[in-house]
Amino acid sequence: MVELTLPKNSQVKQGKRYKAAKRTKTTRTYRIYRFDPDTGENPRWDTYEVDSADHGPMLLDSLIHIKNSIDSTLAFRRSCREGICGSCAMNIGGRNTLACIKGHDEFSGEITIAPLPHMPVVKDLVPDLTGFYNQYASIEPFLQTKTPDPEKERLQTPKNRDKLDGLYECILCACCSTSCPSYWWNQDKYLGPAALLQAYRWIADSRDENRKERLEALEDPFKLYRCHTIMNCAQVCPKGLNPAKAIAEIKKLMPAKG
Amino acid sequence: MHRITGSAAVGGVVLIAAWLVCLALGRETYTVFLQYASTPLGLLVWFGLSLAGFVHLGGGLRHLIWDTGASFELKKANALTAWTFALGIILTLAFWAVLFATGKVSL
Repeated sequence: MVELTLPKNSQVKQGKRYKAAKRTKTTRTYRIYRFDPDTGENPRWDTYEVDSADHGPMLLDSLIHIKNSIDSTLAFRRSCREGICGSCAMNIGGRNTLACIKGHDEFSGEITIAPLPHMPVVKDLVPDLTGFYNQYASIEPFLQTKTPDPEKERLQTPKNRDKLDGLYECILCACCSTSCPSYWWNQDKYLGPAALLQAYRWIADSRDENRKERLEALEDPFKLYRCHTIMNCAQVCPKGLNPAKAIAEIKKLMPAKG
Repeated sequence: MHRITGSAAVGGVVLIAAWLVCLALGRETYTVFLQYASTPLGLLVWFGLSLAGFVHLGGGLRHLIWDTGASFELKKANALTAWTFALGIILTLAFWAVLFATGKVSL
Protein backbone atom coordinates (compact mmCIF):
# COMPACT_ATOMS: atom_id res chain seq x y z
CA MET A 1 0.00 0.00 0.00
CA VAL A 2 1.27 3.45 -0.86
CA GLU A 3 2.16 5.50 2.19
CA LEU A 4 2.22 9.21 1.52
CA THR A 5 2.87 10.30 5.08
CA LEU A 6 5.22 9.00 7.73
CA PRO A 7 3.75 6.82 10.47
CA LYS A 8 3.04 8.83 13.63
CA ASN A 9 6.04 7.50 15.52
CA SER A 10 8.40 8.42 12.66
CA GLN A 11 7.35 12.03 12.20
CA VAL A 12 10.29 14.31 12.87
CA LYS A 13 9.61 16.89 15.58
CA GLN A 14 11.35 20.14 16.35
CA GLY A 15 14.10 19.43 18.89
CA LYS A 16 16.45 21.40 21.11
CA ARG A 17 18.45 24.44 20.12
CA TYR A 18 22.00 24.72 21.41
CA LYS A 19 22.80 28.41 21.17
CA ALA A 20 26.29 29.76 20.73
CA ALA A 21 27.53 31.82 23.68
CA LYS A 22 28.27 34.64 21.28
CA ARG A 23 27.33 34.74 17.60
CA THR A 24 30.15 35.86 15.34
CA LYS A 25 30.73 36.05 11.61
CA THR A 26 32.08 32.51 11.62
CA THR A 27 29.13 30.99 13.51
CA ARG A 28 27.38 28.28 11.51
CA THR A 29 24.04 26.67 12.27
CA TYR A 30 23.60 22.90 11.91
CA ARG A 31 20.22 21.22 11.87
CA ILE A 32 20.86 17.60 12.75
CA TYR A 33 18.51 14.59 12.69
CA ARG A 34 18.34 12.91 16.09
CA PHE A 35 16.78 9.57 16.91
CA ASP A 36 17.31 7.33 19.89
CA PRO A 37 15.39 4.02 19.73
CA ASP A 38 15.81 3.48 23.49
CA THR A 39 13.70 6.47 24.51
CA GLY A 40 10.66 5.55 22.42
CA GLU A 41 10.43 9.20 21.37
CA ASN A 42 9.93 10.47 17.84
CA PRO A 43 12.95 11.59 15.84
CA ARG A 44 13.69 15.32 16.08
CA TRP A 45 15.73 18.07 14.48
CA ASP A 46 18.24 19.52 16.93
CA THR A 47 19.89 22.82 16.08
CA TYR A 48 23.48 23.59 16.98
CA GLU A 49 25.15 26.96 16.65
CA VAL A 50 28.87 26.41 16.25
CA ASP A 51 31.74 28.80 15.71
CA SER A 52 33.63 27.30 12.77
CA ALA A 53 36.80 29.02 14.00
CA ASP A 54 36.81 26.41 16.77
CA HIS A 55 37.34 23.42 14.49
CA GLY A 56 38.72 22.20 11.17
CA PRO A 57 37.35 22.93 7.70
CA MET A 58 35.34 19.78 7.05
CA LEU A 59 31.82 18.88 8.15
CA LEU A 60 33.19 15.89 10.01
CA ASP A 61 35.26 18.37 12.04
CA SER A 62 32.04 20.21 12.84
CA LEU A 63 30.34 16.99 13.95
CA ILE A 64 33.30 15.90 16.08
CA HIS A 65 33.38 19.36 17.64
CA ILE A 66 29.68 19.17 18.46
CA LYS A 67 30.12 15.72 20.02
CA ASN A 68 33.21 16.75 21.99
CA SER A 69 32.14 20.15 23.24
CA ILE A 70 28.40 20.62 22.94
CA ASP A 71 26.39 17.40 22.98
CA SER A 72 28.13 14.08 23.62
CA THR A 73 24.93 12.12 22.90
CA LEU A 74 25.23 12.72 19.14
CA ALA A 75 25.99 9.45 17.33
CA PHE A 76 27.66 9.13 13.94
CA ARG A 77 30.17 6.83 12.24
CA ARG A 78 33.62 8.01 11.26
CA SER A 79 37.04 6.55 10.90
CA CYS A 80 39.64 7.58 8.33
CA ARG A 81 38.66 11.28 7.99
CA GLU A 82 40.09 11.31 4.45
CA GLY A 83 37.42 9.85 2.17
CA ILE A 84 38.68 6.31 1.92
CA CYS A 85 36.71 4.33 4.49
CA GLY A 86 33.20 5.49 3.64
CA SER A 87 32.03 5.45 7.27
CA CYS A 88 30.83 9.04 7.52
CA ALA A 89 28.44 8.86 4.56
CA MET A 90 25.36 10.93 5.35
CA ASN A 91 22.89 13.31 3.78
CA ILE A 92 24.24 16.84 4.03
CA GLY A 93 22.34 19.77 2.63
CA GLY A 94 20.00 17.34 0.87
CA ARG A 95 22.75 15.38 -0.88
CA ASN A 96 24.48 12.16 0.11
CA THR A 97 28.18 12.66 0.65
CA LEU A 98 31.08 11.97 2.99
CA ALA A 99 31.24 14.43 5.89
CA CYS A 100 35.03 14.18 5.98
CA ILE A 101 35.67 15.50 2.48
CA LYS A 102 32.92 18.10 2.36
CA GLY A 103 33.81 21.54 3.65
CA HIS A 104 31.31 23.53 5.71
CA ASP A 105 32.21 26.54 3.58
CA GLU A 106 30.67 24.75 0.57
CA PHE A 107 27.23 25.49 2.02
CA SER A 108 25.43 28.73 2.67
CA GLY A 109 23.06 29.34 5.58
CA GLU A 110 21.84 26.58 7.84
CA ILE A 111 23.30 23.14 7.09
CA THR A 112 20.94 20.19 7.39
CA ILE A 113 22.50 16.84 8.27
CA ALA A 114 20.49 13.60 8.18
CA PRO A 115 21.32 9.91 7.96
CA LEU A 116 21.47 8.24 4.53
CA PRO A 117 17.89 8.33 3.22
CA HIS A 118 15.43 5.49 3.33
CA MET A 119 17.46 3.15 5.51
CA PRO A 120 16.51 1.95 9.00
CA VAL A 121 18.12 4.26 11.56
CA VAL A 122 20.13 2.69 14.37
CA LYS A 123 20.71 6.00 16.13
CA ASP A 124 20.99 9.64 15.00
CA LEU A 125 23.19 9.62 11.87
CA VAL A 126 23.91 5.89 11.96
CA PRO A 127 21.92 3.88 9.39
CA ASP A 128 21.53 0.12 9.38
CA LEU A 129 23.43 -1.07 6.29
CA THR A 130 23.03 -4.82 6.88
CA GLY A 131 20.97 -5.30 3.73
CA PHE A 132 23.43 -3.24 1.71
CA TYR A 133 26.38 -5.38 2.82
CA ASN A 134 24.43 -8.59 2.19
CA GLN A 135 23.80 -7.42 -1.36
CA TYR A 136 27.51 -6.79 -1.81
CA ALA A 137 28.23 -10.32 -0.55
CA SER A 138 25.60 -11.73 -2.93
CA ILE A 139 27.53 -10.63 -6.03
CA GLU A 140 30.49 -12.73 -4.81
CA PRO A 141 33.11 -9.98 -4.87
CA PHE A 142 36.21 -12.11 -5.34
CA LEU A 143 38.13 -13.58 -8.26
CA GLN A 144 36.63 -16.85 -9.49
CA THR A 145 38.49 -19.18 -11.81
CA LYS A 146 38.06 -22.59 -13.39
CA THR A 147 41.53 -23.18 -14.73
CA PRO A 148 44.12 -24.57 -12.31
CA ASP A 149 46.09 -21.99 -10.37
CA PRO A 150 49.28 -20.93 -12.15
CA GLU A 151 52.58 -21.10 -10.32
CA LYS A 152 52.77 -17.35 -9.99
CA GLU A 153 50.00 -14.75 -9.91
CA ARG A 154 47.38 -14.47 -12.66
CA LEU A 155 48.63 -11.82 -15.03
CA GLN A 156 46.72 -9.10 -16.77
CA THR A 157 47.75 -6.78 -19.60
CA PRO A 158 47.90 -3.08 -18.75
CA LYS A 159 45.04 -2.57 -21.22
CA ASN A 160 42.84 -5.06 -19.40
CA ARG A 161 43.84 -3.56 -16.08
CA ASP A 162 42.69 -0.16 -17.35
CA LYS A 163 39.17 -1.56 -17.73
CA LEU A 164 38.91 -1.70 -13.94
CA ASP A 165 39.60 2.00 -13.50
CA GLY A 166 36.50 3.76 -12.24
CA LEU A 167 35.29 0.50 -10.71
CA TYR A 168 37.83 -0.66 -8.16
CA GLU A 169 37.89 2.72 -6.38
CA CYS A 170 34.43 2.19 -4.84
CA ILE A 171 34.60 2.39 -1.04
CA LEU A 172 31.08 1.05 -0.39
CA CYS A 173 29.94 4.16 1.46
CA ALA A 174 26.35 3.59 0.18
CA CYS A 175 25.90 7.21 -0.92
CA CYS A 176 24.82 6.05 -4.40
CA SER A 177 22.44 3.25 -3.43
CA THR A 178 20.65 5.35 -0.82
CA SER A 179 20.24 8.24 -3.28
CA CYS A 180 18.49 5.99 -5.80
CA PRO A 181 14.65 6.14 -5.84
CA SER A 182 14.52 2.63 -7.33
CA TYR A 183 16.57 1.45 -4.38
CA TRP A 184 14.31 3.30 -1.94
CA TRP A 185 11.20 1.51 -3.21
CA ASN A 186 12.71 -1.95 -3.86
CA GLN A 187 15.83 -2.33 -1.76
CA ASP A 188 14.78 -5.83 -0.76
CA LYS A 189 14.96 -7.01 -4.38
CA TYR A 190 16.99 -4.49 -6.38
CA LEU A 191 20.73 -4.76 -5.79
CA GLY A 192 21.32 -1.01 -6.11
CA PRO A 193 24.11 0.92 -7.83
CA ALA A 194 26.93 0.09 -5.40
CA ALA A 195 26.50 -3.69 -5.56
CA LEU A 196 25.99 -3.57 -9.34
CA LEU A 197 29.10 -1.46 -9.88
CA GLN A 198 31.00 -4.07 -7.88
CA ALA A 199 29.35 -6.86 -9.86
CA TYR A 200 30.60 -5.22 -13.06
CA ARG A 201 34.04 -4.78 -11.52
CA TRP A 202 34.35 -8.60 -11.52
CA ILE A 203 32.54 -9.12 -14.81
CA ALA A 204 34.99 -6.72 -16.47
CA ASP A 205 38.05 -8.38 -14.93
CA SER A 206 39.97 -10.30 -17.62
CA ARG A 207 41.22 -12.79 -15.01
CA ASP A 208 37.75 -13.81 -13.82
CA GLU A 209 36.42 -16.94 -15.51
CA ASN A 210 32.86 -16.90 -14.21
CA ARG A 211 31.52 -14.04 -16.29
CA LYS A 212 28.63 -16.09 -17.68
CA GLU A 213 27.54 -17.30 -14.24
CA ARG A 214 27.82 -13.76 -12.86
CA LEU A 215 25.62 -12.39 -15.65
CA GLU A 216 23.11 -15.19 -15.21
CA ALA A 217 22.84 -14.43 -11.51
CA LEU A 218 21.96 -10.81 -12.34
CA GLU A 219 19.40 -11.64 -15.05
CA ASP A 220 16.34 -10.78 -12.99
CA PRO A 221 13.57 -8.19 -13.35
CA PHE A 222 14.53 -6.67 -10.00
CA LYS A 223 18.19 -7.32 -9.20
CA LEU A 224 19.48 -5.45 -12.27
CA TYR A 225 16.60 -4.06 -14.27
CA ARG A 226 15.14 -1.77 -11.59
CA CYS A 227 17.83 0.67 -12.73
CA HIS A 228 16.02 3.28 -14.83
CA THR A 229 19.07 5.48 -15.43
CA ILE A 230 17.94 8.12 -12.95
CA MET A 231 21.63 9.05 -12.54
CA ASN A 232 21.45 10.11 -8.87
CA CYS A 233 24.16 7.54 -8.16
CA ALA A 234 26.68 9.23 -10.45
CA GLN A 235 25.60 12.69 -9.28
CA VAL A 236 26.36 11.98 -5.62
CA CYS A 237 29.30 9.55 -5.69
CA PRO A 238 31.95 11.19 -3.48
CA LYS A 239 34.66 9.33 -5.41
CA GLY A 240 33.39 10.58 -8.76
CA LEU A 241 32.52 7.10 -10.03
CA ASN A 242 29.69 6.27 -12.38
CA PRO A 243 27.59 3.29 -11.26
CA ALA A 244 24.94 4.13 -13.90
CA LYS A 245 27.48 3.51 -16.66
CA ALA A 246 28.61 0.24 -15.07
CA ILE A 247 24.99 -0.92 -14.90
CA ALA A 248 24.47 0.03 -18.57
CA GLU A 249 27.54 -2.03 -19.47
CA ILE A 250 26.10 -5.05 -17.65
CA LYS A 251 22.79 -4.61 -19.51
CA LYS A 252 24.71 -4.45 -22.79
CA LEU A 253 26.46 -7.76 -22.06
CA MET A 254 23.19 -9.59 -21.27
CA PRO A 255 22.05 -10.50 -24.83
CA ALA A 256 25.50 -11.85 -25.77
CA LYS A 257 26.14 -13.87 -22.64
CA GLY A 258 25.06 -17.07 -24.47
CA MET B 1 10.22 14.47 -15.74
CA HIS B 2 10.33 11.53 -18.14
CA ARG B 3 7.81 9.78 -15.89
CA ILE B 4 5.58 12.83 -15.46
CA THR B 5 5.39 13.44 -19.22
CA GLY B 6 4.88 9.71 -19.72
CA SER B 7 1.93 9.71 -17.31
CA ALA B 8 0.52 12.84 -18.96
CA ALA B 9 0.81 11.14 -22.33
CA VAL B 10 -1.12 8.13 -20.99
CA GLY B 11 -3.83 10.56 -19.84
CA GLY B 12 -3.74 11.98 -23.36
CA VAL B 13 -4.40 8.53 -24.80
CA VAL B 14 -7.80 8.64 -23.06
CA LEU B 15 -8.51 11.96 -24.77
CA ILE B 16 -7.49 10.58 -28.15
CA ALA B 17 -9.63 7.51 -27.51
CA ALA B 18 -12.56 9.82 -26.70
CA TRP B 19 -11.86 11.61 -29.97
CA LEU B 20 -12.03 8.35 -31.90
CA VAL B 21 -15.15 7.18 -30.04
CA CYS B 22 -16.89 10.47 -30.87
CA LEU B 23 -15.84 10.03 -34.48
CA ALA B 24 -17.29 6.52 -34.50
CA LEU B 25 -20.55 7.72 -32.93
CA GLY B 26 -21.29 9.88 -35.93
CA ARG B 27 -21.24 13.41 -37.23
CA GLU B 28 -23.31 15.03 -34.44
CA THR B 29 -21.28 13.73 -31.51
CA TYR B 30 -18.08 14.52 -33.35
CA THR B 31 -19.18 18.11 -33.93
CA VAL B 32 -19.87 18.51 -30.20
CA PHE B 33 -16.42 17.08 -29.42
CA LEU B 34 -14.78 19.45 -31.89
CA GLN B 35 -16.60 22.41 -30.35
CA TYR B 36 -15.12 21.62 -26.94
CA ALA B 37 -11.73 20.61 -28.30
CA SER B 38 -11.25 23.81 -30.28
CA THR B 39 -12.01 26.24 -27.44
CA PRO B 40 -8.88 28.05 -26.16
CA LEU B 41 -8.97 25.80 -23.08
CA GLY B 42 -9.28 22.74 -25.28
CA LEU B 43 -6.40 23.89 -27.42
CA LEU B 44 -4.32 24.48 -24.29
CA VAL B 45 -4.96 20.87 -23.27
CA TRP B 46 -3.92 19.62 -26.72
CA PHE B 47 -0.86 21.86 -26.59
CA GLY B 48 0.10 20.47 -23.18
CA LEU B 49 -0.47 16.96 -24.44
CA SER B 50 1.74 17.49 -27.48
CA LEU B 51 4.43 19.05 -25.28
CA ALA B 52 4.31 16.06 -22.92
CA GLY B 53 4.45 13.73 -25.91
CA PHE B 54 7.41 15.41 -27.55
CA VAL B 55 9.40 15.86 -24.33
CA HIS B 56 8.75 12.19 -23.59
CA LEU B 57 9.94 11.34 -27.10
CA GLY B 58 13.12 13.29 -26.40
CA GLY B 59 13.55 11.43 -23.12
CA GLY B 60 13.06 8.15 -24.94
CA LEU B 61 15.79 9.04 -27.44
CA ARG B 62 18.05 9.92 -24.51
CA HIS B 63 17.42 6.49 -22.98
CA LEU B 64 18.16 4.91 -26.37
CA ILE B 65 21.54 6.66 -26.40
CA TRP B 66 22.20 5.60 -22.80
CA ASP B 67 21.33 2.01 -23.69
CA THR B 68 24.34 1.96 -25.99
CA GLY B 69 26.53 2.84 -22.99
CA ALA B 70 27.28 6.31 -24.37
CA SER B 71 27.04 9.75 -22.75
CA PHE B 72 27.13 8.62 -19.13
CA GLU B 73 29.79 11.11 -18.06
CA LEU B 74 28.02 13.59 -15.79
CA LYS B 75 28.56 16.66 -17.95
CA LYS B 76 27.47 14.87 -21.11
CA ALA B 77 24.50 13.27 -19.37
CA ASN B 78 23.32 16.63 -18.00
CA ALA B 79 23.78 18.29 -21.39
CA LEU B 80 21.87 15.44 -23.03
CA THR B 81 19.00 15.98 -20.62
CA ALA B 82 18.94 19.70 -21.41
CA TRP B 83 18.82 18.78 -25.11
CA THR B 84 15.84 16.45 -24.64
CA PHE B 85 13.87 19.38 -23.20
CA ALA B 86 15.03 21.68 -25.98
CA LEU B 87 14.10 19.07 -28.58
CA GLY B 88 10.67 18.54 -27.00
CA ILE B 89 9.92 22.26 -26.96
CA ILE B 90 11.22 22.84 -30.49
CA LEU B 91 9.20 19.92 -31.90
CA THR B 92 6.06 21.09 -30.09
CA LEU B 93 6.38 24.65 -31.36
CA ALA B 94 7.11 23.39 -34.87
CA PHE B 95 4.11 21.07 -34.72
CA TRP B 96 1.75 23.88 -33.71
CA ALA B 97 3.33 26.35 -36.11
CA VAL B 98 2.53 23.91 -38.93
CA LEU B 99 -1.04 23.40 -37.64
CA PHE B 100 -1.67 27.15 -37.48
CA ALA B 101 0.11 27.88 -40.75
CA THR B 102 -1.93 25.31 -42.64
CA GLY B 103 -5.13 26.59 -41.04
CA LYS B 104 -5.95 23.25 -39.38
CA VAL B 105 -6.48 25.10 -36.09
CA SER B 106 -7.19 28.72 -35.25
CA LEU B 107 -7.97 30.65 -32.10
